[in-house]
Amino acid sequence: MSKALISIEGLIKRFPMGNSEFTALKGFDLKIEQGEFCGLVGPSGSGKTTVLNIIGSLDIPSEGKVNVLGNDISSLTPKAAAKLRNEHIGFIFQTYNLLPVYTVYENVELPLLLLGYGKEKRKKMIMDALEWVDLIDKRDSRPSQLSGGESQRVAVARAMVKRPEVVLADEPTANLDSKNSFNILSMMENLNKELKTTFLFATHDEKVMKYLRRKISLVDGKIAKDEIIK
Amino acid sequence: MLSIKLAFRNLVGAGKRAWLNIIVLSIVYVMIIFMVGMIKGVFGGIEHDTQVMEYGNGQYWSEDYDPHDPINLRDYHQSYTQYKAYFTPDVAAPILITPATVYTEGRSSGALLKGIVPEQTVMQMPTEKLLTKSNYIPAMIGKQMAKHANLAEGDIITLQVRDKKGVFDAVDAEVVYIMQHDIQTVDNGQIWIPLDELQDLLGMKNEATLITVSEDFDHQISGWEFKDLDFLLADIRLLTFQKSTGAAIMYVMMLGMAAMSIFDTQMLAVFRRKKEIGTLIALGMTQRHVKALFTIEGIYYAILGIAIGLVYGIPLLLYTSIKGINYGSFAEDMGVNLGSIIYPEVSLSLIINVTIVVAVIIMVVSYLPARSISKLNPTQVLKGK
Repeated sequence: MSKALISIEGLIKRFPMGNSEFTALKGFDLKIEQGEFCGLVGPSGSGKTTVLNIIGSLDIPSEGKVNVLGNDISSLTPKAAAKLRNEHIGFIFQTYNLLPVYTVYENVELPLLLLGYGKEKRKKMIMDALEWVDLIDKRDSRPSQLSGGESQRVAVARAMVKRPEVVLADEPTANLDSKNSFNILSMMENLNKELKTTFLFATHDEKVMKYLRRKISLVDGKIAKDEIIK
Repeated sequence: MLSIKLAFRNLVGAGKRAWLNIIVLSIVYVMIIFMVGMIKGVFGGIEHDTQVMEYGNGQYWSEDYDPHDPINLRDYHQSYTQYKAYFTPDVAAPILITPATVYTEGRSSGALLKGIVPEQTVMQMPTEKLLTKSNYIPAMIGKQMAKHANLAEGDIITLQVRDKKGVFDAVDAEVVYIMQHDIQTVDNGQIWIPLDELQDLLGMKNEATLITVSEDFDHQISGWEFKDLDFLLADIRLLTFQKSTGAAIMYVMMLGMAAMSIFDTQMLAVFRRKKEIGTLIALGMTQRHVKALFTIEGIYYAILGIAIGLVYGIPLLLYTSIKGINYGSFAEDMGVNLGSIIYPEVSLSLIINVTIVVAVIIMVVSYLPARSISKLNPTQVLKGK
């Protein structure tokens, strides 16, 4: 077995709630390898997004060890965490989170600007990404001029443009109709196969589950089932 | 560099509210320069004009002379006989003052009758006009006096004064010249006649109320009290200070309002753009980086406000400082030596100073709301919470 891209051991996450604490993740182990197309599934409040946030170095564990691409999440400085996200992780959100004042092109360009790439290199990578999601003709549009499906495709392009090792997608189809959901998922599946990018979803959408090759079921902050789907 | 680029994109894309703030700031910026320039122009002019027209390099006052005591003015005079040899017209100008009543067109009004050596050049008054040949006493008045008393050159006026015997006597004088300057303290209610004529009338040969001297006068006159320019100009300087302070309060308020508007916009931006902040962090920015981005966005308000202000303000300010602003009769009612046309004094140093003040204040009000970004939880703001 190859070395895990993401390795979680005894992960516990507590949140302050008034005078007490709420334990969202109750201690579990998990390994995700390169090229996987897997999902954390479960009902609302099961801890799916919390796991994604910790893997994405947006949050830290209360206890346990989370290692992403050789980085111990607990010991990362804010700058190192930002570098990890910038260089290796792409995010896709339920509400797209496109920057409203930027055009499609500029939204997709943003991660590359943060990486400090030159103009020509950026242009080529952006055009490639827009081609993957079939949005070249919308490059000068603003998010307010796009449909939900188009907006999510821009979000996929933005996540994929820098060709990250991992893409974390939090309920990416929750705001989309069936047709757009399948389009998006097919697109991500193709990118996974073509670029060997690891995709980790947090979802409770049946449509997404149909595409997953590994389904990790979370119930009350614990892994209830971890199954490979053939 | 990236933050500068992104901040500019954000600002350009932010729409009407941002541009409204920028335009308001540019107006405030130009108004502050204009107001400071006006105050400098008005009071700098008043001080200079008063000095050259009235005070020379200082005055020797006769004992107990009180310019604010017109009732006893006739009593304030003393002899300068022993110093007369030093009083050449270019270094010393003795002035004798007495209260008088002027009769014009059947109406009487109070005035100050002032005797001055026509040949004097200590003060920049056209006193040589008093050498005009006339069958009457040649008299010179200012344009305000002429306007209020309805007098023109060539008019004959009757002056009633207490003569050398102490009784009221009337003499006629011809208005030989009307001064066209704006120095009201040598204009309103004042009639200038040759010194020897007034001395004869009052029986006060070689006596004066005060002696105005130039900077070339290098003698001491004992028995007279020297008043230097600091003393003589103290009232004007106090007025300048008061007006400057009043104006400063006004432009601090104006700048405060513009700053509050930008502060409010920035506060609202941090609140409204939480999801955007979270997204930028998820894409690889640190919170410090995002904070800098928002601060730079605010600084752009200052840069663009100042730049736009300079584009339309500089030509406007230059035009007004060359052509002046005509205050008309309003200036006449001010009671100070305010010219009817005021020229704002707009200098490069004034523009630089105001620019620095505006830029620093806007930077501070941009930074303060951005500080709260450090306290935001990235996982919460990603959801817009």
